[in-house]
Amino acid sequence: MNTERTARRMPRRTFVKAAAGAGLAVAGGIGFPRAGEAQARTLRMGAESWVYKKFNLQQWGTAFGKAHGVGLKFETTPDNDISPELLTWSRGRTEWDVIVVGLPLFVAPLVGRNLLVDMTGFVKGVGEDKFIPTFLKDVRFAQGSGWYYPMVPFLGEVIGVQVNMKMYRAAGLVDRAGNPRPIPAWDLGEMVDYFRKLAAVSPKGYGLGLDWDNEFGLHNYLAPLVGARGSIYSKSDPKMLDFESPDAVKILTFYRSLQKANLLFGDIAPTASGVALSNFKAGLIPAHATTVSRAVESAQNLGAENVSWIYWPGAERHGSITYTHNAYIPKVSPNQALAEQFIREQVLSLPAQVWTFNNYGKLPSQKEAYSHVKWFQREAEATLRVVSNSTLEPKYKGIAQLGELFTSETQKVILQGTDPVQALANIRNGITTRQIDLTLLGYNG
Amino acid sequence: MRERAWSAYLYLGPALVFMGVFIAYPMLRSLYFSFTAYNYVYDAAPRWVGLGTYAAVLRDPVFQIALANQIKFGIPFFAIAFALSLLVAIALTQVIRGRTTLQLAIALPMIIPPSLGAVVFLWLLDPGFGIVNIAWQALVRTRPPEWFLSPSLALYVMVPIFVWEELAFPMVIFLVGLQSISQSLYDAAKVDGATFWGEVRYVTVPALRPTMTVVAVYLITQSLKMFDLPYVLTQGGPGNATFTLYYYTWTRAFRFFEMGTAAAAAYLTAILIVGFSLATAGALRERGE
Repeated sequence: MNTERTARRMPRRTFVKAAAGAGLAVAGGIGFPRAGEAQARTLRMGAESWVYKKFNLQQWGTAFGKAHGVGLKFETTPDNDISPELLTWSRGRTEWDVIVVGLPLFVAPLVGRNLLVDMTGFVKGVGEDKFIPTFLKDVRFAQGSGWYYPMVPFLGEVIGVQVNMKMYRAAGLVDRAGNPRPIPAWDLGEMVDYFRKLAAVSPKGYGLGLDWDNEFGLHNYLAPLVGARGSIYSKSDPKMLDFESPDAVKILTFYRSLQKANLLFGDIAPTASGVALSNFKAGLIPAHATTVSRAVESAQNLGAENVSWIYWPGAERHGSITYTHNAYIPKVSPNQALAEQFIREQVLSLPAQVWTFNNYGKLPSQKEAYSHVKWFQREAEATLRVVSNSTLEPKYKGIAQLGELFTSETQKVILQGTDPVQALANIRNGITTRQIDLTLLGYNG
Repeated sequence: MRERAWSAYLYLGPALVFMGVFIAYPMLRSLYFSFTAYNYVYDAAPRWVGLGTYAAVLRDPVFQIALANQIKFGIPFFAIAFALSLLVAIALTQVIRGRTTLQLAIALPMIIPPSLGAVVFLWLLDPGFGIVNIAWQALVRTRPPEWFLSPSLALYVMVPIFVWEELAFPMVIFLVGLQSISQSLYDAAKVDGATFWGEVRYVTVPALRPTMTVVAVYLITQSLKMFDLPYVLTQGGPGNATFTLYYYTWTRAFRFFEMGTAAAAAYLTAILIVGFSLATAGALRERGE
């Protein structure tokens, strides 16, 4: 027995050497560069997967690398999830020098922890007047009695309805110039009839596709609300979103009526595939309430002459809901100057800004780009007018909790026929009982 | 002798260090968090609240819904997965030609990442161009059900998908269990005039009892850990119809950054897993004895 054990045993010295070697290898492999450590001439970029496709990030990164002899590392970050950044950056480490994406709403916690480089000087250097003002306003965050820019908007979105012109023409919902007729202003019967006409010519018998997940539910509630009453806030509490007005009730009633009439299609329960979008792109549904950028994307499938977009009633006067995608730099990055240079030279460059609109309809943050777009000029101009009047969603500390509460209550209205008045009351009560923190992180002035 | 002991510790060392760093420390740390109020974005440090976090989680209506959903989901899942994996394993023992191919086909979902499997079903059940709905319209000639949009249906649509994802492992365990039953027992049963079902009842099932315990514990654990499907397919909706305990824990940890709440929910889930597993193992053992 002893002989057997002795025979199997590795010589002690060999074992110690192997263990030490493995330990060193592991320690070296998992080490991230710390703040201040030299990471000479390699720019590490993080972006959500869609940014590689819809902003062509790899192309702009490669161009930057070639022009300056800079090494590049591209990585995909999780969608709308800043926890990896938060955990590593707050420990003085980073895997990325620049993140090329991010809704201010989701990035707000990083701002709250003071983990981002102040980009105010950068924005002023580029020229504040070169940005679409509403987009720039979206990234203002409170600092003392004033504000600053912890991120740079490079793309914008605005909520509207993309429409299939073939079906609009078949339903007789076009004007003399061939443009889509607007949605009737807040007569519920007329509104439902409008979508019923569309459903009659749609292959699947649906009138409107609707995105209603934790993110888009709020967008598609607030966009018609701002159109209807010019504000998304409660009359009694100017910091609280409106979950009580007759217009708020009307919007939920409208969606419920569409569902009851079997006219509503889509991501009411959110799904990863973008069910409503893919069906719109396949020419199966006539209209889809979402960001208007989707229309340009859909035009690649359906043809530009068969796609357009419109807004909820009142948007020409009161605007819609708008938000931005942003680039930001961690304070712990050792390559901050290089990251800023990349944003200035590539992310905000005219070719990048125009490319993304022409291919995916994302709205450039730079004014200059709009005079270079290859198609949808009429819609782009109308969109700029809507954007300039549009409202930004509040950056509440507890926005994720509010999103969950709002989505679950309103999904019950739309899908189960819960009374909208009761659902709105549940939301108001839920905010209190769940102690949802509605402290504003963004600059509200 | 002393040198041998020293060597033994040295060999055990890496495994102990690994388990200490990656299992014991996170468990103890999260146990500590479960007694604190701690938002890791906005709070400078965790604040000790004792059992307050557990009380808050148990009072949370969303947690209560998640718990109820877990039971509503778990019962049909367990029943179908248990029975089906046993039946498939028994059937496979009867197949002589092509058994390996069949086994591979059934085991295939095991190597597909669950989230990817979920996406496949998302496309199959797509209301516009999903093949299931197209077939439904062709055969039944009515508009197909809105699989993931119906609050009363969405959770149950996930049951067969999860069975498909989870069937392979219990089937393999059953197969091993079946193959370890001595042929002489079946021969004796045949001599006594037992039919096929008689053999199953009086030979297979009693001999398989320890295997059944393993499979039952596995399926209960998997059922209570179900996360991928609500995450990919419905994000817990519509309403809160597909919220599960793991999904609840994830949202609290990574959407709300409430690490104390998430840790408490995770420990409550762990208690449920251990409790159900012990109860099942006890029930099967008692019967066996």
